[in-house]
Amino acid sequence: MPAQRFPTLNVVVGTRCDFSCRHCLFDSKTRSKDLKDREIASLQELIRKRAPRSLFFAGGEPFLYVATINKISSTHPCPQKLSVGVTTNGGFAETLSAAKEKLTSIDHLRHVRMSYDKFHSEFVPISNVKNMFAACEAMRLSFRVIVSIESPLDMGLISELRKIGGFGIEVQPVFNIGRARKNAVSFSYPAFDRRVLRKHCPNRKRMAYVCGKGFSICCSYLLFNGAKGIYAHKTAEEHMRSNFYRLMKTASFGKLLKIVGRTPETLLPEHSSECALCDYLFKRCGLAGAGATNA
Amino acid sequence: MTKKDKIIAAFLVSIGMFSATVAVKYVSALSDNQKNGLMSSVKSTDGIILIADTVIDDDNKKNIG
Repeated sequence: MPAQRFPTLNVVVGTRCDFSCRHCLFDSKTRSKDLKDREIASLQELIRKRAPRSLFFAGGEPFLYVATINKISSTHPCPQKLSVGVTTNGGFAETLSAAKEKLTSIDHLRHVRMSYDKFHSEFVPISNVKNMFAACEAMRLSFRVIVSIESPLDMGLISELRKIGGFGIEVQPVFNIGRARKNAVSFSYPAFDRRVLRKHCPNRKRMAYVCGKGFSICCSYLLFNGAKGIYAHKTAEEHMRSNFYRLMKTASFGKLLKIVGRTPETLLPEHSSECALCDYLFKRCGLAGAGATNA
Repeated sequence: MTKKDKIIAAFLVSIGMFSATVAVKYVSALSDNQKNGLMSSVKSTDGIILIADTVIDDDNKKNIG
């Protein structure tokens, strides 16, 4: 039987970064991890076998890991069809030429996301966004900016970004994890939003590999705070055979809530976030055990 | 609700941040200064904001650029 394909593989290639943002999902314990040789070999094998259409690299700062990124993507069986993307802090884009030089260093690069918000602006000037956008335009790369927010009021920065150009902007509430949790800068929901109960895991059509953790459908709370053997595995095959993966692929959060015998009335405003609700269901309501038999 | 309140609430709903009920609750708790700040965001976004729903992003989302 041919190996099951999945279109996108997200890789946290390492957690080192040249910034130390207050909202970072990595804390001091997890901030200096790099992929080990055996992890790189495992990723190479997976890419060779499954030929994902897209590889997306995040960190840490992925441009601190250019050689590793190219080594991983080099095993793709159809490199002409491969699309590589990165999410970067753009700290290197001090000039247009500096931006171009760095972007050129990653093989098969098609998509660039730059994180820029009130947290990143403590380390990098907005002119770097302008340089990065111009470099991507010149190199025909897609470009978006991710704006992490503690509150909707933080979106005021978007008007400044709009002056630079008409690129895509994605707004991302700050997760209550890592340094964000420690610094109390995570996004606050004013009330519980029931829409979350109709949603599925936003990552269910993807697979992630996080250095030091393993393969997982999760790239959020459970992966960073949970037990390895339940939420992450050494191989993608092992993970795809797990009850956790099966539940996340198929069940809505409303269904997961029913499995643990809770009602929406018991949920708090912070459970409006898919990832926070998922963390609550698995770690506080015992879904990790219940899911195996009741799903 | 004032017209400004409705515009801000509609904006927050349109980008997927809050449901209508939650957006109305949120806007009602804002000061005038905060509402004015958010209005500047409304004017500059041209409806192209999406909520990124994962820690790690990929290229699977709709074209918004």
